Amino acid sequence: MHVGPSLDVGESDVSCSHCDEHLAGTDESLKTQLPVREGPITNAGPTMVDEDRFVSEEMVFREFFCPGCGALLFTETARKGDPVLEEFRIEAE
Amino acid sequence: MSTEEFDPSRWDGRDLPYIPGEFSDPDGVALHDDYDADIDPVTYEVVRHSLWNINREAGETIQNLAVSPIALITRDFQTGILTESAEFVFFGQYLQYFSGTMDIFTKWIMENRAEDPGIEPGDMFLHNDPTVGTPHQPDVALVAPVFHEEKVFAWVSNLIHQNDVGGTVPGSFCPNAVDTYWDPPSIPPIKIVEGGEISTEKEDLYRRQSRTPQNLSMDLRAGIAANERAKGRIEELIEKYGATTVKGVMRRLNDSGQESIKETLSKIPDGTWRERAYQERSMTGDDGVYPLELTLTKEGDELTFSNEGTSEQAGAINQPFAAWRGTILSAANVLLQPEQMGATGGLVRQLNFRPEPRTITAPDHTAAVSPSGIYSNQVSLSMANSVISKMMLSSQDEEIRNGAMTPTSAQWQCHIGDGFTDDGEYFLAPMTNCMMGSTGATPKRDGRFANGHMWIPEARGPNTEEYEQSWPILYLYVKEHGDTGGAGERRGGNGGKICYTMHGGEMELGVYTTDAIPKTPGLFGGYPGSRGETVVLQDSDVKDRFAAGELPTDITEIDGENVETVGKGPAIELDDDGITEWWWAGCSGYGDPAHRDPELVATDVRQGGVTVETAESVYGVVLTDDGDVDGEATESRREALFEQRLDEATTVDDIVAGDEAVEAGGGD
Repeated sequence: MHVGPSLDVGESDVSCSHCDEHLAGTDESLKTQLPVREGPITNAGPTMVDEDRFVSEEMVFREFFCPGCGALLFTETARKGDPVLEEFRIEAE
Repeated sequence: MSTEEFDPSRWDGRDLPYIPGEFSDPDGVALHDDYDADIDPVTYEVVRHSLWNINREAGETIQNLAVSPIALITRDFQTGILTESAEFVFFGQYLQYFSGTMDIFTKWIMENRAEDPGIEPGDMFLHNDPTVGTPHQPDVALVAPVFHEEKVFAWVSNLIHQNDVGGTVPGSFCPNAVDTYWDPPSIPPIKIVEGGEISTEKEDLYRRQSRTPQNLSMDLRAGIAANERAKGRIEELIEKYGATTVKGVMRRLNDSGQESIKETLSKIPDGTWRERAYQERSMTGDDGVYPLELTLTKEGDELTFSNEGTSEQAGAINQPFAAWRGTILSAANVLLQPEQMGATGGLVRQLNFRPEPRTITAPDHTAAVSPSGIYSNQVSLSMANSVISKMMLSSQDEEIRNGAMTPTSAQWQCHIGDGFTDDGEYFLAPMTNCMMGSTGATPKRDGRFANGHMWIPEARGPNTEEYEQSWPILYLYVKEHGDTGGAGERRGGNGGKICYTMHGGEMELGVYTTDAIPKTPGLFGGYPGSRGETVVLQDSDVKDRFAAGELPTDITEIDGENVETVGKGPAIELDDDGITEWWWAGCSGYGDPAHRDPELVATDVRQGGVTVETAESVYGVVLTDDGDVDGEATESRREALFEQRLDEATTVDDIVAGDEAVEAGGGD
């Protein structure tokens, strides 16, 4: 099952559609199994700014990659230390 | 709305927002529910399209008669036709999330007004009570029964955003509101028209808190005229084709819409899709961060939406439940059923809503909600757009996948000022240039700058001449803002920016938009949409520049005293030489930017949509001095970029405490 532009979801595992790298089992939390780069929210785009002027909590920008080819599979904004968002769970057909 | 495993009894529109239970014949009002099940195809199509045109004609009536700029120019209103039991027949093509409230407040009226003061021919009810069901107090609803043979045959309704209905801040978006008692007054449904006559005592009550009461009266008549037009046209249809035929068409329309959405859902696997966004600064002076969550669960042919995980209600960033539901209906209507032309009754039958009470997206009646049109409604629209699109992108049906779209901007950036012209005339200036819009990306094409918003198809951006004629301002520029569309294999549409200075008169900016946290999520590796900003320079040299024959094209070319702004900040009085630039945000991207066709990136750069720096650093595309793709350098750059990503990456356990690595149970 093809999900989004970069994921193939099989009966037991999820793989990268670009390089076929195994990413996670379907019973695992996909994003927690991926290499992740966490940085300031200014990494989220050229017009982003340091949040210090606005809010009292540190915000981060996370990028989740395929460990095989380095494709960017997910991005998310979060408070520093907040759990990774579980984006989806699909029941095998 | 299904009530399975959900008890709506305490959601009565008094303390908690109103959520209808199983709806049967209410006491005190007779419903006309006879219908013909055997209608020939030609008659069906003629009546179906007639109903659609009636609803459109109601909208055109408002366009022709409303006087408030936000309704007249921006088309910040909606029209709808509902069955006798308040099931949708047609949404209008105007502001979509208004519609999510119409069936709710119409049912409330049947349950709470049928016996006292009664529902009779020639009556019309007005209300702006968010707890009964409006998006916020400035969105004022009018609903009228259509009678046939002494029974309610149907309902016609509209909501129009009003210029000002009171509250602590001119324009009635009150970012300083501690609670609802700082907001404009909320009026539960009152019979504003009885037997065809406007109640002057109720109109006086309605006008009293407004800074621009003449606008309220004029727009009230526009709304009444629209409902009267729709009601009259439906009566003509009944006379021509017979009541049971018209009702039969309504029934079949909803039944076929229901079958259509069931068929679509049969091509999507069961599952759960989630989104999270963060609101910032709940009100003036606050510096907090507030998570919002939205979970979509698909089981068979039903969709259930939950806000579990959303912060408790806070400050002025709350959203009435009916508006939260409306934003979800907006995204579902536009993304899942565009071919139904707004016939959403069948779709609604397949949706369930499970709000957690006293949260930002389902607050109780004490919560301030008046600025929801800027903040919370937009975040919820964006999140609904996200979860529905992610669900569609899990389908193996190409048509469904290609109908997905990256999220619309999660804030409605604007300026609202008020003041006096040189002639001493009071004015209220809601600047809605953001309605020029920006759209999200789909799997097959990029989003675009200035082609409107997915959630209000009939909207249009204002003409600068109209604003300059109405208020003491002078525009310097309105233009596309490069690099604001979220990067991606398909990139989001860019936002824009405008700059104006004072031109006589005096004005205080009570509402302006600036934020730091990206709130418009990218999909499957796409970058988020951009943010809003307001730049203010006081005592600038802009008038000297004009005198010298210069017309600055960017605020960085102008000298002045910078006034640092933050979201929901205090009012700013612009001085005679004050100048301000403000941005509306772009939509988010889809897929990995480093997988984008380099030729498309080169075109982006040539057209000003993406800078050379972003082309190289984010997209990994190197251009020659002539702006062409340097193929070899691009290949090397992208290889280095992929390698750099993995070199700089760590594990989730390194950034999140072990037991809390994943939000919500289960795996992806």
